[in-house]
Amino acid sequence: MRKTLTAMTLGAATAAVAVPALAEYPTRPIQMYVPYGPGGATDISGRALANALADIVPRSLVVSNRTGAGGATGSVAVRDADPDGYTLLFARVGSHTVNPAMNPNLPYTIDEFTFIGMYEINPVACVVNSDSGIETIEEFVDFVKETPGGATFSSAGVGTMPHFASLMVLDAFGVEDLADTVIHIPTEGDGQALTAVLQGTADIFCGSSSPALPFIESGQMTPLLVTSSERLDGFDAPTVEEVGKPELLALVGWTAIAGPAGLSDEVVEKWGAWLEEGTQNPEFNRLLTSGGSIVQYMSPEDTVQFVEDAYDVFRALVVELDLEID
Amino acid sequence: MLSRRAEFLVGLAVMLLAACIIWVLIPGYVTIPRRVPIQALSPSFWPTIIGWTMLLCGGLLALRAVTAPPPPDAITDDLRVPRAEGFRLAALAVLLTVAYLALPVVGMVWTTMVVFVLMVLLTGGKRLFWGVALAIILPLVLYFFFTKVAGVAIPQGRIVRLP
Amino acid sequence: MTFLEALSAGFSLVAQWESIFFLGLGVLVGVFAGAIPGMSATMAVALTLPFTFALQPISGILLLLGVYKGGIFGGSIPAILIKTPGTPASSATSLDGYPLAEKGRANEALSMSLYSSCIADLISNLALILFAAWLASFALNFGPPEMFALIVFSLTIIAGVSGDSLIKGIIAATVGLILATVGLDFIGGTERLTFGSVELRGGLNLVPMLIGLFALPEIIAYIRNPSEKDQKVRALGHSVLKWVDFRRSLKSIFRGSFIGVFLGAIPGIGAAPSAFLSYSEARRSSPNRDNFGKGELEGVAAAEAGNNGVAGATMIPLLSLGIPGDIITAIIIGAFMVHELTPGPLLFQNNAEIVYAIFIGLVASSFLLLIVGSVAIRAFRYIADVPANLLFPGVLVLCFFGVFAINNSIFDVAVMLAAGFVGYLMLIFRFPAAPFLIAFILGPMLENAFRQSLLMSRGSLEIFARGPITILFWCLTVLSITMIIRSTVKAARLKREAARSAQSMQKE
Repeated sequence: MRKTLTAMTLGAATAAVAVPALAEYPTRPIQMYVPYGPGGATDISGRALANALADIVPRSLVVSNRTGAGGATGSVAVRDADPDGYTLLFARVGSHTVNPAMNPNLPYTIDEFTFIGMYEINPVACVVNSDSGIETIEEFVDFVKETPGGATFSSAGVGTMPHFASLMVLDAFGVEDLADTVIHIPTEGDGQALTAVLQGTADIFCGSSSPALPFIESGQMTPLLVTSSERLDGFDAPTVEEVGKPELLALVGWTAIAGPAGLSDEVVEKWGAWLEEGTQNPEFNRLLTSGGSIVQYMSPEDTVQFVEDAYDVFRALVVELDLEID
Repeated sequence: MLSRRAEFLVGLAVMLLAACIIWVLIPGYVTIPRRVPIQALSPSFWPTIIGWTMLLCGGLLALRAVTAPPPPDAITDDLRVPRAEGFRLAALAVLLTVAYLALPVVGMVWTTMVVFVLMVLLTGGKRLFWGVALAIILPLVLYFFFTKVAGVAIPQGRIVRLP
Repeated sequence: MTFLEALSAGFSLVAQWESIFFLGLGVLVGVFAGAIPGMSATMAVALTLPFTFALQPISGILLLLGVYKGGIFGGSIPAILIKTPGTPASSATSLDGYPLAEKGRANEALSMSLYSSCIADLISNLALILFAAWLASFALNFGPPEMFALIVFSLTIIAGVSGDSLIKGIIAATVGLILATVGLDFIGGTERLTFGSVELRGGLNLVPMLIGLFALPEIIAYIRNPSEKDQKVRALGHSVLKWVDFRRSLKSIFRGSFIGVFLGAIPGIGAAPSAFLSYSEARRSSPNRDNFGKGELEGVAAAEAGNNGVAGATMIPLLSLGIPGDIITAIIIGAFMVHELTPGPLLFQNNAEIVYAIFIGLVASSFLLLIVGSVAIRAFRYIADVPANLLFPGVLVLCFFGVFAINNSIFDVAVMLAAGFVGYLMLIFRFPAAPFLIAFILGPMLENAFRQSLLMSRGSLEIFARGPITILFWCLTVLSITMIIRSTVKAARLKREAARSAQSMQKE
């Protein structure tokens, strides 16, 4: 049935435009949704990847933003699309692990997507205002313990990576009763969340290292911790292993390409090969590393494993600390 | 300007809407989290304030309509809808609803072409030649601009796809 | 590097044909993109970004800045000609621009909008160069409580755009406020008035709302009664702006520019409140007050000045602190990062020549805008001559495409159509649309700032009077409300007296 339909559509397309139809995927442009706004980290890396893939993928890639509800609107749009490989998503740590782990009322689950491959990892960094006088994560934890209900952290919104990251870090350092000891100040994006730290509205921000980098370089903020396994360029801060909390290694941002559930093996295999080649593009590498990301290609199987592991770790912590959004 | 009677009824309608917001929509469709540290942070706090402001203003509007002197007849709006105008309004409502439903199925280009021509016909069909010409050209130009230049995937529908 | 060295190095960077070319190209792209509803300045800048990767840093940044400046002016073209503001900021321009176009004075309105934009842009750029450090420290002191006080003050603009009836203006505003609460709750993350819809979780998008609210009622009214407009001969829109009109608007242009500079320096406010504030201030102090909203050139000038006055000032938090003030500047930060330039205090130390090159480029862009804008006006004003029965269907088709393009969402088209229906009802029952829109824009900012402040203070209201800035805005608010009450009472008394004398005349 589906085949006849496809054949009919193809026939109509050929009739309409008189272009010889190719039998193999892809026969027309592929639409790729970014579930966040233009100019954000996901948008920039997604468009950079599309540029790098332009010479590799035989048809054009159309990158479109579909913003709303912390990535949920765009994710649902892709979930509901036909699993034909022509509608794909730049799935992000926020939309596909943190939010599903924290929010049981989310209109989708990660099982409703076929993961095609990961291409980018963003370590998390915790930063404070340089004027605060706090220089290490231990000092910050002491500050939190001394002023119960007094410390604040900013995030890009409820259920986003920075919301969860600060809580996970503080929990790892033995801060108890998180709901009462620290106060969450949501904002509308990483930029605003960092501004809140700069203005003194919030005491700490733990999130993607890239938007924090300019503030670190200029000396306006002090990094306390990074969650990569090696030290990050530009961040004069210990890694989580150096401070003895290797479990925080799971706390990293990432971007992967996903499609609706039930994507054919042909599509997944082709994309795996394209991504592997595309992530070696030097210009793409330069762009992403200049923004503080680590280019890392993962095969479809590894990606699924990685996402599920991260989800399980986060979900367990959410249940343990009672962080569910209801 | 509206007549006093119309103004009074509008005031009552606003009060009804406000009451609906305060007593139906907010209790029914605003989910309150388990933990609300401070009452002013509850998701229903702000909508409730807005609802009461609306109720108050609706009341004031109705009250003013009753007490104020009526405007001279010469500048009072005639709210009656003549039959021909009503027909055109209804036709437009149907046209837009059908067009919206057709967008994902038929595609934006073909839908808007039909909408354009029907609108020209609805308003008397003058300059029909240019109307049809524009109805064909404008959606195509917009389609090629948005897809090829701006990189926006305009909905294509499931029937006939453009390149 | 001394100041003079940096300045001359910056100058030599800009004074190349290449730099000027990219700046001009940017302005050109921006004006035309801004003129297409749905292709707002934001989208144009986002689309241009990938092209800058391959360019020299300064060329790339100047290209983006050109698109930004051009796009902001470009938005006023459809706002005036077809009452379809592509961006929230240009909707204030529609209030008087469209009535002028209807009277066949489209060219005048467009010219006024262009001159006003260029002047405001220039003032804003000069403010950036001269007062960046001072305004940046001000921006840094602008936390949630200050934001809350400012937004409360800004809400008093509603009185300035309510038309005949203040109560109806407030009612329209409450409708806007309640619609702005739809979506996920900011603090708790729970659903508010979404009725289980996935689309509504993200809230109602602003641009579909404003296009529906402004453009659609005109179309519906035309379809309902086409003969009214068809018979009215729309004089060709080629009237020329008179020097007297320009000169009497200068005061409003300067005032609007300063409002724009001030609000632009504060991260997170954006151009729309500035445009409306400038408009309402101009109306309040103008001798032609009663003509506002019916086709007053000064209204166009004030709105555009407020709108463009923001453009240079948003670069203040960007360049001096590294903070993006709005989405566009966030994208421009992306361009800086790609070229391994770090916006913020370091930029002045390490890449002073780039900073001065940007300054000089910005000033040059004001003049390029004047040239490109004049050309664009000549090209676009013919739209005013299209017969109504072809123009309105065309506008509707344009709205369909444009609204979809904003967020690739067919649901947004439904939002636009629904907003059009609401807008038409408001038109019939004489509710003004502008307060609705202002409330819809400011509502979320107000609520978020209020709740963030209370989170900071653990529920203590004292935080709302925590410093001189908040107290200043509270005083301004009280002053403004007093003036509104006084003028409302006065107007009501005059009306009553007029009615009484009319009645007694009827009796005689």
